[in-house]
Amino acid sequence: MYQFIFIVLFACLLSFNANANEISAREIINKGIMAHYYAGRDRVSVGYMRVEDKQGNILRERRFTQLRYIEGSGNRERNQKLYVYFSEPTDMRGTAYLVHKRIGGVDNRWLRLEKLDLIKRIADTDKRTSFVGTDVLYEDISGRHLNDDRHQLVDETKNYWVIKSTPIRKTGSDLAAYKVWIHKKTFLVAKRLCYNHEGKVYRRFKTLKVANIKAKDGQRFPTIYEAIVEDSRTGTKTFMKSDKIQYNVGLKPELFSQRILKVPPLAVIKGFN
Amino acid sequence: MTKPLYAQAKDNTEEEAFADTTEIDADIDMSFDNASLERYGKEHQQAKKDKQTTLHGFVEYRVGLLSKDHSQQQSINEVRLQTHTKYFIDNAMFFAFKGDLLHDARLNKSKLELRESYLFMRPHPAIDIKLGRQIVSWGTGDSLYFNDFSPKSWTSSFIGRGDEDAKLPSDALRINAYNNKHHLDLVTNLRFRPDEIPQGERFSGNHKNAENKDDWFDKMTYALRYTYENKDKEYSLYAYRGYWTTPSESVPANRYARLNAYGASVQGNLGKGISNIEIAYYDSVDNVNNKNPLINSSRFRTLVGYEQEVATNFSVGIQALYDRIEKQADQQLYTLRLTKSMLQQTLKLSSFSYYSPTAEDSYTKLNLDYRYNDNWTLYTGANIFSGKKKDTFFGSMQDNSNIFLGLRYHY
Repeated sequence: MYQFIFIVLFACLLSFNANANEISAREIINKGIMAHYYAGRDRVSVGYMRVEDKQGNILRERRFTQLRYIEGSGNRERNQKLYVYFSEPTDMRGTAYLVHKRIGGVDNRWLRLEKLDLIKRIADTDKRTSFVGTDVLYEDISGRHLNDDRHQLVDETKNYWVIKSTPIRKTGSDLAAYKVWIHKKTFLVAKRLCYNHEGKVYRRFKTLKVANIKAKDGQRFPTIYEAIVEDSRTGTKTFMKSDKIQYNVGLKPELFSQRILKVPPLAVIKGFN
Repeated sequence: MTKPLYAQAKDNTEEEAFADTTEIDADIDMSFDNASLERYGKEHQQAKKDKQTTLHGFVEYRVGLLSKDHSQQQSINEVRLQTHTKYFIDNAMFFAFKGDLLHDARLNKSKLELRESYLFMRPHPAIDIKLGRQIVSWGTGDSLYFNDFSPKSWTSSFIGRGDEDAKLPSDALRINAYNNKHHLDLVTNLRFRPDEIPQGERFSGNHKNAENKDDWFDKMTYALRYTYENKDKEYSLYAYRGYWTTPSESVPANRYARLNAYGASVQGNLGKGISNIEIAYYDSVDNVNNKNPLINSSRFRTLVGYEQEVATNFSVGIQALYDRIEKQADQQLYTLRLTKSMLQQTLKLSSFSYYSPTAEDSYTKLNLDYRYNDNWTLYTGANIFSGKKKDTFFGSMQDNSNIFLGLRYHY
């Protein structure tokens, strides 16, 4: 009940905000989510991540293939299916994750351990934890929900909207608020700073390179393909790169079933042999 | 426009926090002109050229000591070289190989172990075939196998080998058929291979049938699974026709009595965690009317489990097992798994315990895995056994509690 009242109040607040500005902070964030996490119906890419210490020494490297399928259509967050297959490092080779991301519900997640021919359903975990030992968070991969935060427009420059977002639910995490620079034309995130409870920046994300990638059907999707994330708590930074990005290749939702865990797409394993 | 918040963060030194710059760094090119695509295209080409090596594996050394005095104090002392690769014959067919070269200084022998050597074929988009030596796993239990009759190695677990050594390969023909949410999995084992259980040569205690190591029997066994995927649950049915994977006391000819089994399971989200229920009926065919005390009796087995991340990077899993055995007392077993990962998941601490109030015995496995980097991993831990009686599964191992240390280099 309280939740309901809260939502109503929140909605009122939002409509008020929307009147105040031409475009509300919430709308900008939503467009940002759409631009990054909902581009195209499906997407295939090869990811690379490199964790470095302060001196620039390489600590860990990860290479993986990522498949994404988005259900339905529209300009709102929808259910997604994600598949990640690791080819490096050696001891993770063949390990794969399958996630059925459900808006307003609990995600279904599975893990494939090739060594044991094991497919394991795994419990939903804290999304603000390290993704396979990097500075990237699970949340960065699957996306934070629009309704997870209260959004406030704090600045506007020639090219960027600057928005401060505050988590609605208090969790044990260090995240007290974050500020994000959203490119006005593409709605891609150029920079994100995370603040701890003392108001200090402890984590920052920076886009390095972008490209307007042409899908098979001719549509173009502005895409971040190089970025860096730094975390002052670990003192490490992670460089991320996506290669071979393809949109709308025609992935079928049926692909994201137990079978993909049993036998990874042959083209994917072949690509790494 | 509103002034940026947290402007005071600018005063922070670099050591304790990053500077809060309000301007976007000039080096981000968000222009999305043709040049950006060209640049991406060039880098894409570069990525294509990066040739991946095909041979992977590890070299490992493991050593362990028994806690109590024995004539031979070592529980394990071995060096292992593992190599694996896949070779594609065409787009729908590949050959997989995984082999271990092992020198066991504890038992003073060297051997080649073929873990995987199979041909994968996709003759039809909905059918996958695997023929040859392969690891087979299914079922919902965590280290408890109800409907999974593929060979296990309890010895490997008891002396602290890697997780992957808990399963032994089978020589099998496996056919998988898929139809959207339905999945059929048929395994024909060309040779029957029992579980590897602790033996006198490595451990002391009351070990029945100490000579089952590396046994293969020229007898076929069949295992079938059907799975239906619902939105957030998986339902499975199982059937097995073969042999008990652990020996009976009196079947001198083959030592393994015949077994037919039928089972079912369901697994899915429950609250914030995952829960599973699995049942199985074991029909001990050779034990007519369950009158022979020397052959395992027929039984009905029930397993209930639940797992949840209770705090960040800390998860807890519990399982309860109930065996209703014909003409014998019922058996109960509980398991508890605690897992904690730290230091960006490079350090993993875990504990897995089996406790049976009916057999009055227990087994706890403690593990610490530390990934120093992508190549080097350190493993250490302990296997702790206790029991009131010496003739129970874990109780017979009570003088063999041990600690171990391992170092692995991945290439």
